[in-house]
Amino acid sequence: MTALQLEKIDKYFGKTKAVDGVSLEVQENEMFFLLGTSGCGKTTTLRMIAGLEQVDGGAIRIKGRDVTRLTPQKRQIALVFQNWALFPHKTIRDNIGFGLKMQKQPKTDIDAQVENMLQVVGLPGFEDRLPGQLSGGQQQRVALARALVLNPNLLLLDEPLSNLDLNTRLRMRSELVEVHRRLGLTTIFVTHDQTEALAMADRIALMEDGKLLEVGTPHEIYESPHTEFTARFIGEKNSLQGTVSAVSDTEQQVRFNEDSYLSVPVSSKHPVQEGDRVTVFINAEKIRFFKADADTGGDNYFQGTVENIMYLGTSNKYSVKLQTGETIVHDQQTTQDAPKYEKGDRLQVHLDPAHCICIKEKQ
Amino acid sequence: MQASENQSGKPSGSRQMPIDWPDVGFKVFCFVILAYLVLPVIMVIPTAFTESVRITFPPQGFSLKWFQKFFTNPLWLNAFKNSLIIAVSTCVISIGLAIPTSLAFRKRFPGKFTLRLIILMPWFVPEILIGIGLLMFVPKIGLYGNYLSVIIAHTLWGLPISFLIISTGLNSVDPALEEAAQTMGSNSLRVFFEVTAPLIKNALVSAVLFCFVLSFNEFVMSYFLCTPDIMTLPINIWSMLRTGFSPIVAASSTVVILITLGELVLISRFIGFQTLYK
Ligand SMILES: Nc1ncnc2c1ncn2[C@@H]1O[C@H](COP(=O)(O)OP(=O)(O)OP(=O)(O)O)[C@@H](O)[C@H]1O
Ligand SMILES: [Mg+2]
Repeated sequence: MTALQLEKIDKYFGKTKAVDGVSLEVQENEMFFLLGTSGCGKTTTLRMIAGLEQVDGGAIRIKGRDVTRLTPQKRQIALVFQNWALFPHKTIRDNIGFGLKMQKQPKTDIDAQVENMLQVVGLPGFEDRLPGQLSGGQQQRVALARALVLNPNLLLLDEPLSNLDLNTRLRMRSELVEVHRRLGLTTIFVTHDQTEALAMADRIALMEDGKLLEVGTPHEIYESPHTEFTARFIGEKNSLQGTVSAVSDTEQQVRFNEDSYLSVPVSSKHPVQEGDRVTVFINAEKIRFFKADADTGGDNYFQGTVENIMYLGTSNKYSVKLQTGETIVHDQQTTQDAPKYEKGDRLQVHLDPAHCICIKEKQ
Repeated sequence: MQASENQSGKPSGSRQMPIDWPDVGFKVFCFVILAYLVLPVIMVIPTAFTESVRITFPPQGFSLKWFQKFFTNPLWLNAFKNSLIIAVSTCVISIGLAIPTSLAFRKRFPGKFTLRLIILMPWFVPEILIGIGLLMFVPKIGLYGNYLSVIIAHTLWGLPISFLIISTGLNSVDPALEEAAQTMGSNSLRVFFEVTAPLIKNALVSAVLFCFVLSFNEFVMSYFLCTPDIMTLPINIWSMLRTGFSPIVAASSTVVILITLGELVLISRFIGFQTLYK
């Protein structure tokens, strides 16, 4: 069953179109991510789902019910704000119990549910504190508890982890996934952090400039993006520009200059014709290095020279200038048996055709 | 440790601090300014405790009989009561209007700028002009000699001042808090009472106190509108002065000053005036 359906929703702020014809469907119990750069309209989309902004066009359905014109308090959704928006003048008990109080539940019921919820988010005994007396991570959990206790149709999260330090953020990621798995709540998570989206999402929707570009599982988005924007945005990809010089049933040749070309398998997602200008993308970690004198032979091997090495802890990032003139980067895990190369070393670079994504350039 | 022993233990002649004349001068200057501000206000207080029947300075002897007279004389007592009724009503009406107005002014709407000017204008127009205007207007609507006329006049001041104070308070409220309450099922009334009002509590209390002081001490507009029935305390002080400076006037002035000071103390407890010197 579809938990949420957006049908071509638009939002204008004055003359700027903040959200432009966004349509999507979120399934029951799904952990759905809205991912995009700053200012692309993620928050605005989320606020329209919550009813805090009116749509200027299109329709919103929650569990099949048209809520486009309903006020926020009638939509039975819960929203966790980026700054959590805990009521500073209310205790943790009153913060979490707020929605239940609005439903006019008896006080003893509320207290029991609050206690139970604090158990769920791992903060038992914090009932009588004020939000100001909690750490960032604890406040984040209270915000989550305040949303979960209402058992909403939809849980909306607007960058809930971006105010936390790295370690807490990583811990909260797995806790959120765990809570989501346990309670099975349809969740829409807004973030500009792709690693967060890749790590937690069932599906990711990529937004750019108010438009929805594509929707897919983390694997699909990362390994076989539909659009050039996605290819550039997700992961660290190398891009090489060339011209399609030959197309067979299974393979296509992308030529960079007279004596260097790349063979890439034909993809139904990205059909090309001979003569098309294309960009070939390959993820930085998918590249492989071989010694300059290694007997490799075959297609897709290029000679290159190491231009720069950056030490990143878990990996070394190599910049290699290819004989075609382009520079590519490669992330090599710093495992013990990985061969080391020095700046200025000559080597061979293998671009595995299976990992090459060939996308036609826009005219 | 050693260093501090050296300093506090045996101050040697060479260590003596030279007198910082500019600093001393500045302190004296501040003191003079302070005296200049305070003395005229409190001058009258000692004269209220005199034993003689005429005001003298310095006062002779000590007695509370003038206060006793003030609180037993029906004329004074009535003026005092009128002032209280008018001040409390002004507070209620001003705040009651200022809250929805300042809430509305957080949104955009056509004519917002002009409307703000209109609300604030009475605060900047000379009182005497408002007084003349009211004197022409009030009898027309049949309110001359009615409490309501003075209350309306004072609200012309109370509304802009409480509008300013409450608006400033609202500026510091994170709209996400109110939106959060909305998504959790509160209608706008409950959002106000559960979230907004507690967060701007200090601004609300200050607005009430400011309105009260303004109304309680207001003279010019009341002078135009007061009939003997609705005589306020400042007007009564004024009319008594014309017949001679009896110590009962000093006693009533002292009452006014003490009430005003009390309110100031309350206001500074609530908004702390930190905003002014931070
Ligand atoms: N209340 C508003 N008035 C005018 N313009 C707005 C308003 N809210 C958002 N915008 C504009 O709409 C666009 C989308 O904003 P939105 O807040 O949805 O971005 P976002 O994707 O959430 O970005 P971020 O990751 O920085 O939070 C931006 O260009 C922004 O300037
Ligand atoms: Mg945002």
